[in-house]
Amino acid sequence: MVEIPEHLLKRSQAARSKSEGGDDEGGEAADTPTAEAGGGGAAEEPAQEAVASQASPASPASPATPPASTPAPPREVTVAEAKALVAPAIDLVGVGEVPYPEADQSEIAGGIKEVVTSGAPKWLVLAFVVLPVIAMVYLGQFSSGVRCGQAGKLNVGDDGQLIACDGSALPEPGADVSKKGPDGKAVFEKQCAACHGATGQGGVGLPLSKANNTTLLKDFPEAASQVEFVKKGNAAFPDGWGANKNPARGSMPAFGSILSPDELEAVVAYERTLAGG
Amino acid sequence: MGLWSSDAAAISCRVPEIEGRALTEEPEVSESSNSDSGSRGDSAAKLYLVLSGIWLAVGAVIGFLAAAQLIYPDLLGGLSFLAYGRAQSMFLDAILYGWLSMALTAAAIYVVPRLCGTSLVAEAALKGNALLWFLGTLAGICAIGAGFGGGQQFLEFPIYIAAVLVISSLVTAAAVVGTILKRAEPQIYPSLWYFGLAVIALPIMIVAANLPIYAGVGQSTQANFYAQNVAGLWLLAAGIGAVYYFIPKIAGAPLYSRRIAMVGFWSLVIFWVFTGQIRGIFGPGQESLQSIAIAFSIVSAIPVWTVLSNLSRSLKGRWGTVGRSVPVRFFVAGGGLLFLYSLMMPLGALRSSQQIVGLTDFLLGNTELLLIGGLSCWAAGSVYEVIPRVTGRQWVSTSLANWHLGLTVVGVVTLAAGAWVGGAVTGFIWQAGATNAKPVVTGSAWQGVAEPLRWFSTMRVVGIAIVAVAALVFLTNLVRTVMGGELGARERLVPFDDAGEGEKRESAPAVLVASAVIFGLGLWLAVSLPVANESFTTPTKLGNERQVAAPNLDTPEAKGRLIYAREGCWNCHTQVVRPVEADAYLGAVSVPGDYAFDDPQMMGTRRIGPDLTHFAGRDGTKDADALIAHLKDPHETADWSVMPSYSHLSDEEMQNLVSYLSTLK
Ligand code: HEC
Repeated sequence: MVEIPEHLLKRSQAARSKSEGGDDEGGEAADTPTAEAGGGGAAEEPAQEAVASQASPASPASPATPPASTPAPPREVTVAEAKALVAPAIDLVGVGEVPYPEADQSEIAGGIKEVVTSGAPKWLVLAFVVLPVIAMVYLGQFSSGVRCGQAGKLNVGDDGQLIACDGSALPEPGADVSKKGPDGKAVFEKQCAACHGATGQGGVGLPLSKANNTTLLKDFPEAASQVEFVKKGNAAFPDGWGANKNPARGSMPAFGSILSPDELEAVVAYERTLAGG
Repeated sequence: MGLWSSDAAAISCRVPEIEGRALTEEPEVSESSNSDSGSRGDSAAKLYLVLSGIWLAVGAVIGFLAAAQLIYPDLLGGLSFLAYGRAQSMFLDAILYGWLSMALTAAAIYVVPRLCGTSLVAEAALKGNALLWFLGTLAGICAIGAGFGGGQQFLEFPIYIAAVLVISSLVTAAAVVGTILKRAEPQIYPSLWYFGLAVIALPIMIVAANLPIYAGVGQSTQANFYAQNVAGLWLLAAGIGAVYYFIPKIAGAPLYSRRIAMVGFWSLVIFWVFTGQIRGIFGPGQESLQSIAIAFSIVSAIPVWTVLSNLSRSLKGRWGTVGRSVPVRFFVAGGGLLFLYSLMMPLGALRSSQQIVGLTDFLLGNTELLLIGGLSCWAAGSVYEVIPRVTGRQWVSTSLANWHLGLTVVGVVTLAAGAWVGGAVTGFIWQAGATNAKPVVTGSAWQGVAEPLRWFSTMRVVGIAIVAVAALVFLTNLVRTVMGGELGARERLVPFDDAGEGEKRESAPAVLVASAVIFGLGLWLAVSLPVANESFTTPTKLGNERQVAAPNLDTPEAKGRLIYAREGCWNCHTQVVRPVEADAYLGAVSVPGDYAFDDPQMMGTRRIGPDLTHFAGRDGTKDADALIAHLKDPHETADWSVMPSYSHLSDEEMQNLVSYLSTLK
């Protein structure tokens, strides 16, 4: 058991040099039925080392190896003999490169061993921490159920139909939804309600709703002139603002640098609906 | 001949028996003299393997015929046996129950006695059992083709055939667990836990999924649990058991880490059981269960990654050598595909992606990647490794085996990619239709979905065709090998030895019981939670209106409902409206009570034709006569439609079907 047949050593060396030359595919054995082809177990570790450790009593060479039956030069080996050599050649390289301490290995029936001590590689440990955290964060996000707007969820109306998150119905099929600008109501509540009141009832600023007898539509018969006014504020009209040339009372700020032209249009349109136009 | 013999030698690269005690017997050469081989389960394993190979080929060919009908609906000229709705179910069931289940059962009964150092319990019974399972599957698949199928994925088999599968899987479980319990080897190698879990889980799951305790949403919760876990806790668990044995064995290397294997095992049991409801995201089922399922689908990558990292460590420094082994190539390719699956599963489950890809082909692509890709490669690797050892014959051709591998990988990736991209495109089209108030989800507007989808259907036909060729290549190789492969590769058997005196015997029952408890918890959540919520069983107005189709009635509507189930209409038409933009204009959002009397439930998980939840209540719905004309020849009014013709239904059946459809208000 301790001695390695000379031809096997040769074969391993041949295999190694061949594998370094980028050999592949066992199929080529058909074209060149030589011992090297069969023994091309492309070992990454030096095959010689493997051969050496193969000699240890724990890993006897395969008995299927025909002892000295093929001492002839490689080219003259028959197909059948080459075939017989394949398996032992692979055995040869496979055994012996055990990088784990023998003491830590435990032997199981069926020719299997397992290492009892080795732990997880770092990336796996990392995955073990990171993935559950992601999962928990996900769960936390939906701890009170999926709210409207989360992950694309919409609301359901009383009749069971889908509605938008703000409670408005979805557009009728075929409706023109191409010009869907900013939401005038939202801009109003954010920018204007403080002075003009949440429903346009007035306060620091003039009342804007029909219910509170606003003069808005008289001051601005055209939406464009109202946009101009909101953009520049009342201080920009020393000769008085609006169609009736009202003198400035108090301060109506200029929104030209705060709101985009689209938002200006939208909030003005909203105010005009409040005013009843 | 020269080619085969030298190739064949490379395939079954013989593995050294590492321990000294391994070499006490001479290798056996002739088949007739191996009388003791039977005791290791070899003859039963051989039978399972050959039968499994047949199923892979049959399943893949049916899959091809099904997929082709999505481009040429009249391909089979109205042959009802293989009409799309039925064939799609037959295809996936043949792969799952026929091919994968049988191949992995073979792996279990081959590996378990070896790792236990003892003989297989009840081997003779297992041979009969292989036939029983084979015939049960055959009967089930023919039943679907003949029009006796049910309405839920993987649960189409009629109940009495499911009962046959339960009996057969119980016999397997008894043999495997019995062998583990009487083992001579004191240690329990990780493969044994995985196999033990798998064989125990299978019969329990089939029973639980078929328990007639629910209708409607409760039933769909059950079905979702089953569809996900029959793949995870049965097939994946058994596949992991197989690779944990075969790879170290072939490489002649020790398993890198017992600890990682253990952690992987528990994470599989704990995480995977809760992932079932990712098949019903945004549906009327419990939102909390859906959230849990998504969260667990994220961590379900861990069990897969433990296996991959563990085994690649075992192979370290040996890649060059074992890369020449065909089985190892299959295992490595399968590992890669499963890694991909571990990323795709949560990706398809997250709500933010579900609002687009939900109910499209996307999820099917994941199922295909798992079953036809990763698990099939692992199962095939086991076949390549085991066949020479149980028949004593060398594989006749390595190049055919390599073709099998290459074609499988290319084919399944094409198939699944077609589903993923096609699914995403479909989802975006639905959503864009809603945003622009130009709905594409019903009626003839569906053309806007069907036409782009045709490209991806074509891609998927090419993919499944390649898979089918691979399967036929495999079957040819398998049959030729078993019938006439060169003799001489029989494994050297390790003599049995008794348990070492005083050695501490690991406790098998503890592992099995603990995993069963956790598994049971997941099962309980899926099966009993729906009942805790009254809204699941209290019918809504809509639910009450649909009661005429309840299964215990003898109304035309009830009969028509069964026709809808057996024709597999649910394979293409969903009956669920979700609160997302893609489902705008489909009518009222579905709530559990709508389905109170639905048995079998047919919500469906895939919408490649318009949703039918409120079909009869929609504007412009056809009257009965026009509807019958449409069912008989869908292409007359819509030449772009891929819906098959139902002209094989009798006049009465047609009337019943239409009566049922008219309840869908
Ligand atoms: C700082 C408080 C303040 C804010 C904020 C404010 N306004 Fe004014 N607004 C006024 C005052 C004060 C007047 C009366 C000006 C005057 O009489 O000279 C006025 C007058 C107006 C008028 C004329 C009303 C009429 O009857 O003709 C319009 C239109 C108007 N504001 C629009 C807006 C819009 C749009 C916004 C939000 C983008 C806004 N305001 C925000 C204080 C404010």
